[in-house]
Amino acid sequence: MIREMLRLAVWGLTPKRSEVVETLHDFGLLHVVNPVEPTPPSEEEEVLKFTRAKVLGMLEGLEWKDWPSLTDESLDAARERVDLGIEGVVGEIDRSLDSFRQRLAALLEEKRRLAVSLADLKKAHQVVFHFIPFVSSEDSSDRNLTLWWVKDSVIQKTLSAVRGRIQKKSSEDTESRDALRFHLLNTDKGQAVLALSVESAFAADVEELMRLQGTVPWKAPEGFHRNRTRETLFAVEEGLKETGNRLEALSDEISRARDDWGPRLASLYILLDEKLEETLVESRSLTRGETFLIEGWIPADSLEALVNLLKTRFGDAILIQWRYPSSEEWHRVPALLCNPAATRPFEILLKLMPHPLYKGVDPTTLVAIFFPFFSGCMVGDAGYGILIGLLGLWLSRNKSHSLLPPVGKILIWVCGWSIAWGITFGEFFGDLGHRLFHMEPLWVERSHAVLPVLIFSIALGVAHVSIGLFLGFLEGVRKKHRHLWMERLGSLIVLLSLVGLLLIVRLNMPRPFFSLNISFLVIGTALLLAGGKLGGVIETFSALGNVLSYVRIAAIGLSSAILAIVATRFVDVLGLSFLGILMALIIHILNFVLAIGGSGLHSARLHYVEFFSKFYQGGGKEFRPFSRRRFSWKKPC
Amino acid sequence: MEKALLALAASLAIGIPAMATAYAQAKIGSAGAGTVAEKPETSGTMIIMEAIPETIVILGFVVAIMMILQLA
Repeated sequence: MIREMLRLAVWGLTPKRSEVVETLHDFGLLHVVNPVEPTPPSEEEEVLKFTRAKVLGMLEGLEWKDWPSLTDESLDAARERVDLGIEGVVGEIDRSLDSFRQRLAALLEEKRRLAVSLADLKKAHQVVFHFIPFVSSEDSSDRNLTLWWVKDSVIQKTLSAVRGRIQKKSSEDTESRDALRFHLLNTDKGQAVLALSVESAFAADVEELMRLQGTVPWKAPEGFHRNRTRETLFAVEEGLKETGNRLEALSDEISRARDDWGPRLASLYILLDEKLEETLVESRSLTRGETFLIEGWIPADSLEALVNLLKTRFGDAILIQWRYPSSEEWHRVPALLCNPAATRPFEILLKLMPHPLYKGVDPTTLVAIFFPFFSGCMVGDAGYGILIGLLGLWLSRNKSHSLLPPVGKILIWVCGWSIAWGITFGEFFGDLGHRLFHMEPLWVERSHAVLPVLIFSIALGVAHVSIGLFLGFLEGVRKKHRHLWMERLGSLIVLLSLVGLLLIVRLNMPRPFFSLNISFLVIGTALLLAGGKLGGVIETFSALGNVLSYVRIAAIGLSSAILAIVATRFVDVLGLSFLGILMALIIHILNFVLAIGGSGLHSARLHYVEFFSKFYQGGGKEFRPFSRRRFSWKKPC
Repeated sequence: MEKALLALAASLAIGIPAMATAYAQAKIGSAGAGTVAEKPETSGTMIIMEAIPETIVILGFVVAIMMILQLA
């Protein structure tokens, strides 16, 4: 159902404008229409936007995302603290937050710097870990230790050159054998780190040679280089531990700041957002001399409460006018869907479509009837139905995302129909119910009697599409759209006549029935041609295609039933063993996921493509009341 | 022989539309993913677009079932 709206106009004296805007904001049920075209933002708006962005930036810096933890009470407390007017709010924020902002920036910069340093140290530690035993054994006063980056392809050539240089320099061959010792670490980039240990007497020559060979000395990260290689390696190892500890301590400090400041900053962000909204409504209201005008749409049954509130607060200082919208402006009126609590969760399925028009059809109730019915028929298994119900219960109590509770409630509806169809088809986790409890189908077993289920699903299609066409016909009549109602009525009559003819031929009914049906077919075709010409006839063929599309209910149900039976057969084949039970469980889980996803998707598609195309008109405006942020806010129904 | 031909026809009736649907869905899916990345509000329309070609398989399934029932 779409609620009736009234156009409300509030006239008043300019000095009272801010108070009136605040009162309307508190009331929270007026969809404000700006009579003035958007103007360049005022200085006040700029300041508020800048401060809001500053607070949001700090929240992002803190990585605080726990918006659901905020409560109305925390917001009210924040409102009382910053009830100072715009300048007061901005000044207070700047004073109290500037020092925190600097501290936070310093902490985040330190964290970034430590993270970079830690990454460098981790890379260096790979070398350190490998060379520490070699370096420790070679560390003595008469030997010189150096580390070099060498290409894999030139390692042997480089080592030969070093040996040659040492032999040339030394007077005795025996001395040259111990003069060079080396150790190698291959990395994965075609390079290696070569540790050279030479007698101190050859150190300068070897270093000169290595540089001439084009090799590069290995260096520890900045700040960890020491005079001796052994000390450098231990400094890296020590630095890695120390940096890790410091980073952990810093993360803890930021986490404490996040928990402490996050909710406060978030409340402040919301208040600034509200304040900005008020400023925008004020600046865009129509001003004539000393008077102002604020206009908007309000649900008809909320008018009295708002008028009483405004009159009590402002008395004769304001003038209130209201009227019903004319048919010419229906397309501009926001549409507020208002359905009973039981069917309201299904409104989320309409969010994937353009918003319905004011004075259009709200299909939520029909979706609430048919969506779970079709989904349940596709699942058609009492065992899976129970699991869907449990999942639905869990989701309906999960408040971490606003979409989860309605999805959970829809699943509970699907659960009911799945169990009902499961009993009808005699399915409980496939044929497990039959094996364990001798469960028998009330109607037919889907996996064996395919044709009756196919015919039933086509009958469902005829009924569903016919309802859609009938609603389209009513829409045409209501909006005095002759072509629309003639085409929809023609399609409906032709569709039902064709079904009637099929039944007459199949059941061998008397001839007068046949003649009567042919007459209806002719009338329907005439209406179609009058309403939509050739396009109308094509539309009817499309409606027939739509009806056949409902076969998917049987097809998906059949595949789900067979997959469930296959799962149980694994236990037959592999025996009551661990492997058999595991395989059965895996296939049941797969089937359950497919049952939820497939049944939901295809049921939604049957509504969006086959059903809505017959009557639904989107393009309406969503009702967006000018209201304060309330976490416990519920749609005014 | 007749039974074998019927079985082959039934398999072709569902197999060929299934391949055609897979091809269409691949094309629509890649285009849809790009569209949703640019405009997340089009996700609903894209789901519908993605599901539309499946009707061909459903019709193929009906034909295949009718053939298999003749076999039986």
